[in-house]
This record gives sequence, C-alpha cells and structure tokens, in this order.
Amino acid sequence: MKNYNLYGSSLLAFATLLAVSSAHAQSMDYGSLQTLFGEPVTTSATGTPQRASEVPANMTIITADEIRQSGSRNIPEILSRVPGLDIFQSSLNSYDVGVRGFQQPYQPRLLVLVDGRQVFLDDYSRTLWDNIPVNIDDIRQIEVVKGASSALFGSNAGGGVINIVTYSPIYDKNNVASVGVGSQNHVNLDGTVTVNGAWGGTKISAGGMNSNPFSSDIALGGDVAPAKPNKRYIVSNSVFQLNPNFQLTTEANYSESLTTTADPTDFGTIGNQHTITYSTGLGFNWQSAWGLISNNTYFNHSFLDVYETTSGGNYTLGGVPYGLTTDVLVSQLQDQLKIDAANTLRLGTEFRYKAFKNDGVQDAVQTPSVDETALAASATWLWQINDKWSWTNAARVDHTGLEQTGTVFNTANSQSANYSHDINALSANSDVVYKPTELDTFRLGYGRGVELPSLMNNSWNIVLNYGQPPLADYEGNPQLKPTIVQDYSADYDRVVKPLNSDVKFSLFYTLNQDVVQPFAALGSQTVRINGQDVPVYIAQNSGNSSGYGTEVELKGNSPSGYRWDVSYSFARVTDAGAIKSGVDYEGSAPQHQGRVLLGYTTGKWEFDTNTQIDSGTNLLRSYNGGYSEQLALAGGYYSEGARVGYKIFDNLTAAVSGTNLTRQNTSESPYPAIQREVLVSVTGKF
Amino acid sequence: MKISGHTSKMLLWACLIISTFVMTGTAHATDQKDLAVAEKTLPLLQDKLSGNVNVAIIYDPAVSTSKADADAIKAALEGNSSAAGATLVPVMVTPTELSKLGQAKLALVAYGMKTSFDAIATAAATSGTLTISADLECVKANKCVLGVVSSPTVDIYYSKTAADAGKIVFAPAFTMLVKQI
Repeated sequence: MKNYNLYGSSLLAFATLLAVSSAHAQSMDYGSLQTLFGEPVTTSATGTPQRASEVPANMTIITADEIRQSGSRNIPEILSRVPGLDIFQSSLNSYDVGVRGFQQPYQPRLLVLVDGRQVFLDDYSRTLWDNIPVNIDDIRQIEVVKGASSALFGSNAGGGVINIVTYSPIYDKNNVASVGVGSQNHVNLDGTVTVNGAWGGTKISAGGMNSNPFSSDIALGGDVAPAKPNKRYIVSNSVFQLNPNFQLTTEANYSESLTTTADPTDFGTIGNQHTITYSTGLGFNWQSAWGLISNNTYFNHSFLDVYETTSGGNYTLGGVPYGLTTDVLVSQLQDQLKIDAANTLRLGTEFRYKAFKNDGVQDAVQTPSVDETALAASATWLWQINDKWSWTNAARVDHTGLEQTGTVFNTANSQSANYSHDINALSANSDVVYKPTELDTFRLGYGRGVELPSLMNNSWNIVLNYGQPPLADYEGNPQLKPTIVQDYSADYDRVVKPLNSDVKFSLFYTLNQDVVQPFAALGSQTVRINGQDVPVYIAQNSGNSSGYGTEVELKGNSPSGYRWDVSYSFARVTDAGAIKSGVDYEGSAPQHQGRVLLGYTTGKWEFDTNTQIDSGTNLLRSYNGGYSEQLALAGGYYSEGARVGYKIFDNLTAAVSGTNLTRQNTSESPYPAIQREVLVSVTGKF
Repeated sequence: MKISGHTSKMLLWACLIISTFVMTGTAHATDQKDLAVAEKTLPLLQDKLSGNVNVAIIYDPAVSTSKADADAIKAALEGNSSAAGATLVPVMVTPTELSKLGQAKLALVAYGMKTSFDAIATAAATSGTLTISADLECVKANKCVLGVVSSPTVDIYYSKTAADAGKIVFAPAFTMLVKQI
C-alpha cells in the first residue's frame, strides 16, 4: 500500500504558507451587524449585504450555534438540516449534496465557496467535501441558496450556492482548539489562532483527521477496498487596514485528503481518491466615492490520484492511478453602489482561466488537455420600491473560449479541430419581495442558470486497451452545449409569535435543458484501435430533466431554552430523453424527506437530537463486475443523531455526539451501508 | 348607588392603570432597547471610539417629555456606560449649550426637540458629532444621522445628508443594510 506522508506534506505546506503569507478573507463585520440587527447578514443572495429576513431568494443560514449543536465535524452532515438538500453519503467521509431532487455522485449543480473562494473542483464539476480546508469551529455561518444563482456566481451555480463564512481575522478574535476521538478509530485535532489590532488581523487554522476503513459488506465487483480516510489542512487569512478606506486581503491554504467515494465515471463503483489542493489569493476593499470597490483574485490548484477498479488491474492503493491536475485562476472586480435611498447597484467583471490535464493512466491511452478562458460581466439592481415591495434583477454574460493544449488521440469524435470554439451564456435572476406586514413575506422568483460542461466531459479520452471485451473508447466532447437551468419559485415566510417560530413554505419548478451525459453509447459506432473495432462512448447532451416540489419548515425557540426545527420536503424529478447512463436524476434523491430537530439548553448543559426520514432512491450502481451500471433501488430509511454538551468552564466544553445511533449499519443508498458513529470531543476557546 | 370603599379603591386602581397605559401610549420615550441599538451602531463607525467618550444628551428643559426622556437616557447610560470599546460619559446639553458638542463624538437627541432640529444639525455638522435619536422625525428631516427603532424588529434609518455634513463615515455594509432617507 502506498504510504502517504501527509504529516510531512502538511509541514511543507505550512512552510510554504509562511513564505507566501498571502490570503484573502471576507472583511465585512458580520458579528457587529448580526448583533445590531438581531439576525445574520449575508451577501450570498445579491452580492450586496442584506439581512437574512430580507434576501430576495430562498436562503437558509446555519449559524455557529447550530453548527455546534449539530455535533458534527463535517459540513454535509450539518447541511442535512436544510429542507430541500439531499445528502448522499457513499463512505465515511464522502458526500454529495443535491438540491431539490437532483442528486448524483459528483454533484455538478451546486457551487461551494469558502469566504467567497470557490472550493468546487472543476475537473468533474463537483465538490470534494472532505478536502475543504476549513476548521468547523471557525465557521461563523453557512449560507445556502437554493435555485439558479449563475447571474451572481457564474457557471457552476446552476442549482444553488453554499457559501461557508468563517470568522474574520480583523473583526473577530476566534481562538479555538478541539480534539475528538470516536468510533471507527476516529481522531481529529483542529485549531484556529487569530491576532488582530488597528493594523488589521491574521488568522491561521490547521487540523486533521484519521479514521479506519468503512465497512464494505455490500461492496460489489468493481469496488476497490476502502481506504483509511484522513485529512490535513492549513489555512491563513489576513486583512490589512492600510488606511481607513482601504483594506488589503490575502489568503493561502493547503489541504490533503484520502477519500473512498462513489465513482460515476467508472460505472458507479467505489473508488479511492488522494487529493491535494492549495490556493493563494489577494484582494482589496476600497471605500471610494464611487462605492465599495472590491477585488478578489485567487489561484486554485488541485491534483487527484484516482484509484478505480478495471478489468486490467485492481487500482487499489497499491496500483497506479490516473491523475487529474486542474489550475484555476479567478479575478473578480465589483463595485457596490447605493445610488439613492431606493436603489442599489452592483457591477462586476470576472476573468477566469482553467487549465486541465490528466496523466498516469494504466492500461489506457492518453487524454488531451484543455484550457478554458472566460470573461464575464454582471450587474445586480436592487430596487426598494416602497416599504412593502422590492424588486431585484441580476444578469451576467459569460464568454468562454476552449482550447486544446495536449495530444489528441484521433478517434471518433475528439478531433483536434473540435476543441477551438467559444461558448456564450446568459444568466439572469428576477425576484419580487412583498412584505405586507412585519410578520409576512412573499417572494416570487425566476432564475436562469448555466452549467458549463465539466473539464472531464469536455476533454477526457480514455481508451481501455485491455480485455476481450470490454475494450472501449470513452471520449469527452468539446462540442458539448452548456446545460441551461430555468427556475421558478414562490415562497411565503411568516413569523408566528405565539409559537416563537418562523414558518417557511416554498414551491418550485426547475427545468434542466441539455443535461450532459458523461458516456453515452453511440450504438453501433466503433473506432479501430490496435487492429480491433472498439465501441465508442461519448459525452453528449442527452435531454432534459425537470422537477417540482415543496418545502415546509417550522423553526423556533423559547425563552426557557427549548428549540425546534421541523420540516418536510417533497421533490419529484422526471428525466426526458436518453439520460440513463452516467447521470440519471429521476428518483436519484428521496421524494419525501422529514426532519425533526429538537434541543434544550439548561445551565451548562445542551441537549440536541435530530431524526430524519427519507423515502427510497434510485441511483446508478455498478453490476457485471464493475463493467456496467444499472439503476439500483434503495428503500427508505430513518436516521437519528444526538449531542450532549457540557460547559466545564466558560471557555471549555465537552460533548458526546453520534449519528445513526439505533443501528450499526444503515442502508441509505445502493452504495455501502453507513455505520453508526460516536464522537467524544473537547473544545476550548481562548 | 352607593359605592363601597372596596369598590372605590378598585376604581381608583383601574383609573391609575388606564391612565398609565394612556400616558405610555401617547408619551414618547427612548427606552433601553433603543439605546442598546444605538450603542450597537458604534462599532460600525469608520473612526472607532475608544477611551472616555462624552455623549451629549440633547434635551429641552422647557419641554417636560424631553426632560423626562433625557433623564431616562442619562440614567440608562450611567448604568451601562461601556460600548464598542469606549466608556460613554453622559453630558446633558440644552439647545443653548450646543457648542458643547465640540467635546462630544456622540449625541443622543431626546424626544420633543423638533424646534431645535436645525440648530442641532448645524452644531453637529460643525463638530463632526454623530447624532442618534429614537425620534424618527429628526432623521427623516435629515437633521440627525441615525434614527433607531428597536421593536418589533430592529430598524435603522440613515440620513446621508446629515452624515456627509458631519463627515460621519460608517462601514459600507452598514449603509447598505439601513433604510436610507
């Protein structure tokens, strides 16, 4: 088994961080604003600061208190409390988060950011949640926007956005350390140190996790042996107050993880991935006569070793993986300007460059490399018509140029000339908010989102030159069209004072046009390789997928220390066309989900429980020894979690938490069952 | 009809209670919650407050509601004088003493000062004093920089005109979250 020297790598990364000493961080004083208004504030709905109760979008903000009370040490489990989000777990530390019924491994429809920096990976267009470099104890809030948000965030936000906001290096003084041990030989250690003053502030977070393999008692042929999950990360954020009107922001981070995950590109098998990501960033905030002008420039690098099982050899950790390298450079410039009492304008431009290559494929012929260069211009206009009515409009135009840079294996479709072309895309949002009383809010929204094809779907070209059969040619398709998302939503929120609660009611309809199917069989089409006719599978736009549904939530707390959050969500998705291979949204997420979260605080004690009931799912899963895939049904399930926390001192808390508490194994999907987990942790704030 | 002593006492109490409600409903007062909201705006000033900060409580001794409101503000500040890293020191200021604003970075304008709004605005602009009032008439007339509402939900009204006149600068996010006049 290959020995990953994560500790050594982490030390090297730390040295690099100190040398680079650059980091970007959000520099809005969230804490003071939340204290003032008595509710969280956010910029994730429109790009401009807004109170949570006034955003023109379906948004949930998970606060630091709720994160602590969840007892969870990973973000998808924390997100599972949000109605309309579906959490698909395929191993101890591998998750995909789907929005409103659209779920699949390597979920491409949800953009994930940390302090405004993309942690979404552009290789397959997905998020590797366990690789995100963030200390759970350093998260101020997690902002969840459901619905197309490309007009603000660009082409990865077709189905929604999650922005993880950490404590500010300049306005907050978050000094925290946490250690946890638990079942599956889980050990985690995380810490954050902040130093700040009139000059600005610097914050460093670092930590890691080790655990033992997940049970593979229902592993199928083609699945690799589970790895021992682990993670190391270090993050540095700084804000320098150069003068009263100008802040310089810097960021640097490094993360390394080993994950066992569902692999939709290998016929729904279980594979292992060793992932290294690092990022550096620089930005500024300038309070000028023309508004607040901000720049956020960052460079993301990711490198994955992917270990899959194939007929030619079992790519376990001892085997030779194929590697994917992605570099992303993003520079965003925006101006927020309050024109007058009723009108606020946000103007933005963005430059985005992606470079992608892969190598080291055993038993397979090379794949080409591609570059993407994109320019975008966007605008958001917030019009407060009067005390009761507001109307927000946003639009963004993206111009993306594709270019082939590596060698192309001239097979059926990936001819070199196909790569050089441009994609133009228009995103838009229009949302009306009506507040007839202090207690009632109505929202009507329309969103047009854009999902650009992933770099893999644009360019991969893997020729499996072993076996008799299955010898096959899997090709990306540089001529893919972007998937267009049309979102329609209606929301009603009401404050129910007698119950100390908020009630939220939502309806939605979503249409995804030209969904990309990673490998569609081209019937009898073959290509001749090594003297043999090889069947061709190619990425293509394969039809539409639509969904509708509703969400209802009652959430509140009482002065006596009780809190509750009860919700139900329904989503029904229908695929049209030939979306049956590599991606299949119909039935991929539970149609019915119910959640009950109850909590009570008394003195030094905190008690919290959560129960979730999901109906069944229908996900693509491997069969025939991993050479093919088919829809596999998993029945409904329920899961229970709980946390008990005790404040030993004002700044020291001990807690016991657990998930899936009533059973050792819970089958949530056709993938391996999820085990019961129990964690004991101690957290100190200094 | 003869009214018993017990009944007359009950009627007296009822009258007292009703009159209290009536007075509460008609008389304006800056309450503790309003002051708390006002104090919570201070960390969002671009020029942070520190050390001992004189807080002018502007009132008119000739107007009873104004005097009562000012006394309540003073008492509340004396009970909780720390805000945004500064120690707030209340100083009572009448319309004839507005030159004292030169020594005050913050001024709380009591109810009942409508006739002095112009003079207060002029003095505050000259001295660069942040003026805050729970009396929204002041900010809506562009004479105070901020107007605060604490219930049923927190609302902040902001006069850019008054802020610009006194060169009062807040964090950009704050000015986008408030209701601008």
